[in-house]
Amino acid sequence: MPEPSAGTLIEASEETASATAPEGQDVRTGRSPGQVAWARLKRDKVAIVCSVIILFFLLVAIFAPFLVSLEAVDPITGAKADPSTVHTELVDFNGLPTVGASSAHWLGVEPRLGRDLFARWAYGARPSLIIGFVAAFASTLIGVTLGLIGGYLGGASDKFISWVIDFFLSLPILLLVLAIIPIMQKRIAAGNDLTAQETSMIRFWVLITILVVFGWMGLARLVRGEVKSLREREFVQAARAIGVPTRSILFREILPNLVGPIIVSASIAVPAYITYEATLSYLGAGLVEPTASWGRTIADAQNLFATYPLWLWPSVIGLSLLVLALSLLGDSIRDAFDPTSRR
Amino acid sequence: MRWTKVLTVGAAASLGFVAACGAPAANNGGAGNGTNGGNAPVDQAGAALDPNAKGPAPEVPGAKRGGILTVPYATVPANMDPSDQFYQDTAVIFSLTHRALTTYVARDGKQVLVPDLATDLGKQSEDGLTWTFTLKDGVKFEDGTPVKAADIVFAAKRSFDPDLAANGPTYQREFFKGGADYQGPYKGDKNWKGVEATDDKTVVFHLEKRFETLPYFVSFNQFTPIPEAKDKKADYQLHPLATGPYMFDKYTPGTELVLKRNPNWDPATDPARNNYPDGFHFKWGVDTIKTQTAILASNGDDATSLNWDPIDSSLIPQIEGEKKAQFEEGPSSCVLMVNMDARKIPLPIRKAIAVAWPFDSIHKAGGETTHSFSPASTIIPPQIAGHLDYEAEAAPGFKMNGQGDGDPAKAKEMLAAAGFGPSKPFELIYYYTNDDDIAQKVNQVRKQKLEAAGFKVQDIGVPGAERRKIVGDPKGKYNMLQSPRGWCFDWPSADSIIPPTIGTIALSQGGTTFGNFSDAKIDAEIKRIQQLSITEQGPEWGKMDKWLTENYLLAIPDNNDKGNSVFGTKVKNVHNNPNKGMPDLTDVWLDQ
Repeated sequence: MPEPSAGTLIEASEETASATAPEGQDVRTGRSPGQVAWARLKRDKVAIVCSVIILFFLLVAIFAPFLVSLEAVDPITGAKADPSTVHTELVDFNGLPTVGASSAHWLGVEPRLGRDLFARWAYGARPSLIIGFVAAFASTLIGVTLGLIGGYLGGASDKFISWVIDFFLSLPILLLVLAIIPIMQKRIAAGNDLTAQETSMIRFWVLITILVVFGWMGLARLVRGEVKSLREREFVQAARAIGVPTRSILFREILPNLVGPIIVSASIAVPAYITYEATLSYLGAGLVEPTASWGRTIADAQNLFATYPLWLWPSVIGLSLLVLALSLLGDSIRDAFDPTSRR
Repeated sequence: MRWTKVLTVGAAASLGFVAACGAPAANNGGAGNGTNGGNAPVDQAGAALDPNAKGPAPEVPGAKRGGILTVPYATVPANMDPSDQFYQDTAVIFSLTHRALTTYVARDGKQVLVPDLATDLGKQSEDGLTWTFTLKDGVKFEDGTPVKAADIVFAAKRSFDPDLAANGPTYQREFFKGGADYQGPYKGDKNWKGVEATDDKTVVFHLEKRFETLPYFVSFNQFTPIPEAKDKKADYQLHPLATGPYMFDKYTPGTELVLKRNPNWDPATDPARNNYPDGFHFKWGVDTIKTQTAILASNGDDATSLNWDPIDSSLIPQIEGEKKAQFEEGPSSCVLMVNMDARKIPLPIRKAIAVAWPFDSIHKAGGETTHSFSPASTIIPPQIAGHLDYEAEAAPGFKMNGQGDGDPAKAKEMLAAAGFGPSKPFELIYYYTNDDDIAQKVNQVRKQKLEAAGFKVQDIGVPGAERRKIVGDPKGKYNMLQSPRGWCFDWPSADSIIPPTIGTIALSQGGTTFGNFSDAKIDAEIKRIQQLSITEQGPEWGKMDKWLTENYLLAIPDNNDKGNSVFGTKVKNVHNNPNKGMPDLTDVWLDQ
C-alpha cells in the first residue's frame, strides 16, 4: 500500500476534474485512498452492473414475502402460494407436477411435494445472503484484529497467532466441517429431541459459526504482513516517538492504510461463503427442511433434470449470477484500490 | 423375512416410507389425480406343496444356452456366508449356487414348495415334535465329494453361531429343541442334539413345540450343506462350496461376484433349476439411475444386464412407453403399515389417525411410483393363501384401503367427539430420519397434513442409525411410527406374519410390535390357530386379520411393496418371484 500522497498524485494526473472540488481550487489535496477508489469504482461499468445485480438479489431476499404475495390464487388448491405448504394435489402419482408455470406459480411447483418454486427460490436467497454477509463481516473482524495484534506487537504473541493461523490453515476444511456440523448440532441440543424447525435453525447458526471459524486466517495473515512493514515506516516511527498511544497508532495511522486490502478481502469472502453454504447444503451437511435453500434445491433437482428442468434452473442461475456478480465486484474493488492498475 | 431387501436397499424401511405411490383404482375421501396404473390380480404365492416333484426342471420353451448375465444393483451384501444370509438379494444369488432341503418353483405364476436335496417335504412324527428328511442320491459338492446328512446338520448348527450367523433368522432358536441358548458347533456343544444325522442320508429335527411350517423354513440358506472339514469359519464366505448349477469363480467382497458353471451339478436331481447362461456377474453398489438408464438403452453389455432396484421415477415414461418389454414388476413379500402405540393412543384416536392419514401425499413426497407399491387394506398380503380381502371402516363410510389423502374434516370431528379440540389438541410424537433428504420431505408432508386434521405433532429428527434404535425400544418416547414399519414374510404363510408382529409373545422378545400391545384374547387366538395344520391355518389367519383391524386397529394397513426388474433387450423370461419381490434367475436365458 503506498503512502496516501502517492495515490493522490497518480489519481490527480488521471483525473482532470473532480466533481466535488469547487472550480478554481486545487484538486490535488485532501483525497484519501478510499475516496480515490470510490471515484474509480463509479466509472467502472462492470462494477455498476454487478452492484445492480447484487442489489436485485438483496431486494428479492428482503421483499420475498411481498413478491410471493403477488402470485395469483391457485385455482386447484384455492390458496396463495407460500414457501413451506405442501400441495400434493398438484403432482401426479409418480411425483411429477400436473401444473406448469402459471400466474399462480411463476416457476411451477416442486415435484413430489407441490410447493411453489418461486416462493422457494425467493426465500432461498435469504439464507445465502445472510450467511454470506454475516460470516464475511465476522471473519473480517476476527482476521483484522488478530492480524493487527500479531503484526504490531510482534514477539511471543505474534508467534502464537501465526501458529494458530498455520494450524487452522492446515486443517482439511471440507472434511472437518462435514464431521463437525452433526456433532455441534448434538451438543447444542444437549440430549434434547429437536423438531425439524429447531434443527434447521441450529444448522443455520452452526453454519455461520463454522464459516467464520475457518474463514479468518487468510485476511489475518495478510493484515499481519502489512502491519509488520507499516510498523517500521517513518510516519509510524514518528508517531511513536512523539508519544501517540498505541491505540491511536493502530487505528489512526495503520488501519487507514489497510482499508483497501480489507475491503477487497471481505468482498471476495462473501461469494466464497455463499458458495460454501450451497455446497454444504448440497452435500447434506448444511441447511435442512423446511428452510428453503438454493443448494438444497439444486441437490434435489439434479436427478429430475431431464424430465423437469424448471426445478433446477432458477436456483442454479440465481446462485451463479449472485456469486459471479459478487466476485466481479470484488475484483473491481481490488482494481480500484490498486494504484498500479490503469484502466 | 425381517426388513431385508428393504432395510438394505434403501433408507426406505428405516425412514418409514418404503415402497411407493400407488395405483389406486378408486379414490376415497381425498383429491387424487395423475397416472393410475391399474393393478393386475396378484399371483398367490400360495401354500402349494408338491412333495413328489422330480428333476430335471422343465425346459423353458425356446430358451438358448450361453452368455453371461450381468446383474448390477445398488446394495452391497455384507458377506457371502450361507449361515448369515437373511436378505432377498443374496437369497437370489444363493438360489443359483446352493441347494437346501426344500425350495420353490414357479408353476403357472404360482410358487410351489418342492423337495430339493430331500426326497420329499419331510415326515412329521405323531406328536409333531420330530421331523425327518431323507436326502437324494447322487448330489455332490462342486469338488465332487458327495453331500451327506452330516453336512446339513453341521450347517444347521452353524446357524446358531453368534458371530458367523449374526444376521440370520432366529426361528431355529424358538422351535428347535435346546435351541434357545445354543451357541453353535464352535462356541457351544458340538454334539448338540437339536438336529442330528442318524445315517448318511437322514436328517432329523427335534422340536420344542409344533412347527407346522418347518418345510418352508428348511428352504433357507441355513440348511444348505457345509462340510465341516472344509469350513474356514469367517473365511468360508470367500468360497462357499456350491451344490447348485453354478459355483463361485471370482469374488471380491463388497464389489463383485462372478459365477461359472458347476460341473458336478446333476440336473436330474434338481426339480427347480435351469442353467441357461454360462455364468453370472453381480456388481454391487452401483448408481441406480445411471445403471437403469444404461440398461434401458441396451448398448453392448447392457443388453445382457438386469437390475432389480426400484425403478427411478424419471424413467417411468420409458418403461410405460416403448421400453415396456424391458420391465417386469410384481408383488414382494413385504407389507407396510402405519404403526401406532396402542398403549398410548386410545382406539378412537387411532381411528381418527386412520381417517386423517395422507397416504397419497406421503407416497408422492417419498418419490414412490405407481410401480413400487400397491395400496393395502389388510395385514396379510394378497399372495398369501387364506388372505381375506376386506376393507375395514375407520368411521362410518370411511374405508381404510391405503388410498386417498385422508379426510381432515372428519378426523377433526372424531377428535372432538373424543374430547380433543383446538384448545386441547391430541399430541402425536414420532421420530423421523433427519440425515436423509427424502425422509425430511416426507416428514414435512406428514406433519402438515396431520396438523391440518387437528393433531398437534412433535416430529423429532434423529440420524437414521439412531432412529432405528430408538423406535425399536418399547419404552421409547414416541406414541406412533415405532418399528416395525412393515413385515416381509419368510415363507408364504400368515404364521410368518401375524405371530412375529402382534401379541404378547412378540412383545416379550424385547422389541416393538404392531401396537406394542398385548391382550389375552389376541394371544389365545394366535395359539389356537398355530395348533392347526398348514392347510387349515390359512383361512383362520385371514379371519383373524380382519378381526384385528376392525376391533383393535393396532396399525393402519398402508401398502404392499412391489419388486421391479429392468433388463436389457437380450434378457428373456424374467419373472418376478412373489415370495421375494425379485426375479427368478434360474429360468432366465439370453438371446445372443
